[in-house]
Amino acid sequence: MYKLYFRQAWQLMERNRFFSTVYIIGTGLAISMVMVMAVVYHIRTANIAPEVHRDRMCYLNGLSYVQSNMSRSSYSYGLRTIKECIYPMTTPEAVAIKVDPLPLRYIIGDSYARLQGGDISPKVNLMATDDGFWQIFRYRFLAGKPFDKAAVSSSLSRVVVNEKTARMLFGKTDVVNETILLNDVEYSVCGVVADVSAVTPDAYADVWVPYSSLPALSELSSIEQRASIGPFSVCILLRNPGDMKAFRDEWQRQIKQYNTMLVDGQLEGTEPLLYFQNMLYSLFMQDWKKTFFMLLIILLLFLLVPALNLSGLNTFHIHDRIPELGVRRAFGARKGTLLMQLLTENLLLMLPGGFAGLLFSYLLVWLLRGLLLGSFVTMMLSGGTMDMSLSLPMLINMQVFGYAFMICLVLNLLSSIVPAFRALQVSITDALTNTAN
Amino acid sequence: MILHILKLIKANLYNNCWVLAELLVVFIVLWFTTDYFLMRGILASRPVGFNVENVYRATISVRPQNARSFIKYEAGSDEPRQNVYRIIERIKAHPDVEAVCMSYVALPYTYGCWTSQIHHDSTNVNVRYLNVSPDYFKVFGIHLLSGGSMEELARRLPEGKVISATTAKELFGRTDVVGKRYYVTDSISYPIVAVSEPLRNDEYATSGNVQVFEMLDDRFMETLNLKEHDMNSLEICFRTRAGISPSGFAERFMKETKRSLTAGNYWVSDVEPYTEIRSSFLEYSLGSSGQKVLSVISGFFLVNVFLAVIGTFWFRVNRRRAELGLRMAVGSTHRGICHLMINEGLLLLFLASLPALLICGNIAYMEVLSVDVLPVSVWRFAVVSILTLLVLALIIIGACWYPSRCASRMEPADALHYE
Amino acid sequence: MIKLTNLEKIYRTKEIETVALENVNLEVRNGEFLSIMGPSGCGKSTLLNIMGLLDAPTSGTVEINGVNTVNMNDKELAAFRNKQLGFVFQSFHLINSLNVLDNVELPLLYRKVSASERRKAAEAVLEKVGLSHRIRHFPTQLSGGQCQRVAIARAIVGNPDIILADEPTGNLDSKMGIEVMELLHQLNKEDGRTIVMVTHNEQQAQQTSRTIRFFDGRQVQ
Repeated sequence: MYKLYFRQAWQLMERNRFFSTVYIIGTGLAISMVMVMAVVYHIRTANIAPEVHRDRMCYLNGLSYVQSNMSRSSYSYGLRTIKECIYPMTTPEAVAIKVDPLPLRYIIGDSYARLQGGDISPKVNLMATDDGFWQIFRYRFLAGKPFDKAAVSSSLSRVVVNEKTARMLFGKTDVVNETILLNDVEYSVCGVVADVSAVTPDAYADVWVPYSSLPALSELSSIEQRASIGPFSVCILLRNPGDMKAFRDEWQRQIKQYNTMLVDGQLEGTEPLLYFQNMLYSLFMQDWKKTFFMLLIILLLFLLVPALNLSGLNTFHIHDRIPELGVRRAFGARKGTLLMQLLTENLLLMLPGGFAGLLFSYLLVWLLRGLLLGSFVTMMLSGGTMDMSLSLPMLINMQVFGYAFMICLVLNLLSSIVPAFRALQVSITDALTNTAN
Repeated sequence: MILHILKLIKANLYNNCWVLAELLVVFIVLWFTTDYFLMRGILASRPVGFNVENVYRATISVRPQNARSFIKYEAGSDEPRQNVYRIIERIKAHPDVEAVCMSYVALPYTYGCWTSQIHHDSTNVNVRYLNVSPDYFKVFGIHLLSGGSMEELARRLPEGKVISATTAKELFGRTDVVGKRYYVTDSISYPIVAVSEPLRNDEYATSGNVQVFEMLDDRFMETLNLKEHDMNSLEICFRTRAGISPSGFAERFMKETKRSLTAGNYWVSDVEPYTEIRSSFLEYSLGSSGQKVLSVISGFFLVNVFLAVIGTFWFRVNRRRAELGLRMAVGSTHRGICHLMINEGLLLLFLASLPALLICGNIAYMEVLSVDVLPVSVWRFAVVSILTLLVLALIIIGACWYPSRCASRMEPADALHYE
Repeated sequence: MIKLTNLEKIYRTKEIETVALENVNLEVRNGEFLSIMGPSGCGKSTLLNIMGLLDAPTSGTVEINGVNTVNMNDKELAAFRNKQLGFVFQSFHLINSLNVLDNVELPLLYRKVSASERRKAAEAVLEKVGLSHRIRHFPTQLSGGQCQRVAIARAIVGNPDIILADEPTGNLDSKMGIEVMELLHQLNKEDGRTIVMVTHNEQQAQQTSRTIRFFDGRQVQ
């Protein structure tokens, strides 16, 4: 039966080229706009290398040190807190600490890499991490391996560089055990990874070093406040997303326990957030409800206006077929069956448009990637120098196709159900004599 | 004739209602984007005050303590600051450089901002403090409001505070305020020694354009208590002499001065044309993102209207072949048929725009529109409405053209026969 | 077979009421070939539509094969039409975007019949109406007579007891008209199907087993 629908839909499309063109462009446009949102949603939330565990990752950001005189210092996690509270936790599968390139720039200034006696000293995005980082984030190593626990604990000057930096400095990628100067400090290369896109913001950098190799980060201050809060953000890999509550409880216990050892003040932390929540927070930092509302209105408009558009076209299109519907009903077709037929045909007519729209949405996402996929804060501070490349698997996957099909379905219902329903309300005799209007 | 077309529209009301509904929604959306773009346009056309052509920014970097070449100074040593001054002097010594300035959180086209409240009588104003060395005015080409030279501003700065015209207006309601004082607290006040032209952080800045210039000297740096590692947050900018081509200058400058621009633990790590700083700021600012998003959205809605109108009218031409044939048979020309269709389209737009304008007017009345640039006025409402109507009318005429051409090419006999 | 009792059909608009049928009592017997005659607008097509359950009477009952159809819902009516009734229209009403075979298969589409069975049945009836060689053609490529024969094939493919024909030869020239009439007679005699036909043609009416005449919504003979 559906084969027949398909055949007839094709026939109608062929016979009515102008209508089909307008219709396909119309659906394509409608779908592309919504698909842009869907693709962005996918890229921002799905597990994408090297952020392969987004679904069971959570962040610890924001820690305040409150003194008895009510003065409050807010920052992120400090080394002492991490060592005494966070590392010993048992719920997480892995823990990583890091200072992203941007905050690090405020601590040690811009970073430059060069070779001993080399001519060029490119500015690099430097990230300070520990060994756990390489377990949570999966980079593709072109040569060598990440620095290990021993390197971190004995403050060895080891560095992982990305392909771009390696090629710029050495002209090749197999540079393990070579030496580079990072801000005039000698580092030995232990691994080279493929470049990552800033689309995965938490993994993006050019150069990674053990945090312990940077004096500004590794000095454990004797002042309680300075040791407890600091620049580190903590990434937690849970065994499964459902562990979130258990983890939160353990975290609360740990902080409480730690607070009993503090003399001058107490720590108050921001509740841990799952990756998705953290992303929402960082995107809509201000007034996210309003932003959300705006997005919803835009989404509705994006679907509603084309739906009105297509409804108008469908009205004419289906109107022309009222006599045919009359014949079908005379020979025993039920209204429900015919409604399904009209919707199916319309969906078939919509699919090429949907496909075109999907391609167009890829183009739009690519063109507006800085705007859609970057976070505003990073963009504004790094002045748009980040590498925002998109890979094919980010765009072409079953999940995105699924979204596209769903949107076609919704648009189809929105745009053809009223005209189809109205056409079926015409009595059979009127339909056959085609006096309906 | 209009009455006649109205009758036609009424006869096709069910078929027209989709187009009408769509026109209504799109009109409202477009009305707001038109308003937005119009306001942005007006804003961008206003002067910024800062002249960044031929201006470059030099970034100072600091060596980390664990670097081999790190020079350790005694605590409290004046050497680090002198090293910054040395670098400035060396930049000034370059033959192509006209003026060099140093500033602290005082650059245009940045988000950095140091604000404080000042007052005079009962007027309180939030101002942006720009801590600059006197040559700042020469580098950024800032003039006296009265038309005096940049040199004069630079000369007067050490004597007191320079305020911008906007500040003067907000604080005193007028601009001839040289010699007056403004108050920080009831007991602390400063003399105003000059009023500069109005300044804005960037083309699209609507707030925070109230500035007070303060001398950045040794005393100021001591109050700030900048450590050696903090001193790279001092901003160094310079202007090249007239006639020096900006293309490739930054690279050439870096190459020529490679060794000389190092002092103590500081070195100039980057020289960037300020025009690039400006364009990257504008490109990644919230406003330009909004502009991009709204352009895409408006474009999307316009194409939709185009498709809706072209689709509807094309179907209608086919449906009404007999009618059109009859019209031609009773004496309408081909051109007349064309006009009939275009008029019908425009009348549809007019019909949709009436309720749409009512809604837009209500929203404007409810003070939803931004008044950063211009107050909401009848004038603004009218201009935006007319622009919106014009854009939509153009789209509709464009969309009617193809179907009406199909219609007017028909031979009357064929058209009548079709039925 | 078909029993109409006290049938009345009134069309109402805001201003006027038009009586299309008034107090019609009629019985069509099994295997009969009944022709209905009358001037334009006398209500004969309305009568046929009501018999075919395409239109509902204002009052009165329609009984087909002993089943009262007045209170049936859309679903039941559709199933009833599908199984018991076949239609032939003056203007053929073939679906132009489907080929001959698909057009003929149409009634079977709305039953639970497999594609291959549908096809077999359609080919068989097309053979019967003499159009086996045209099954892949589209209606626009056929002559009027051929179109009407396709329409007849469609009417009988579901094996209904009753065929309702509304001026089946109205759009055909006389030669084709005769062909179509022969086909209908053949269906009546050989297959024993009941046929009700509306016609303007006195000659055709005389060939049928019974003729009734209508005038202004009333049966006059």
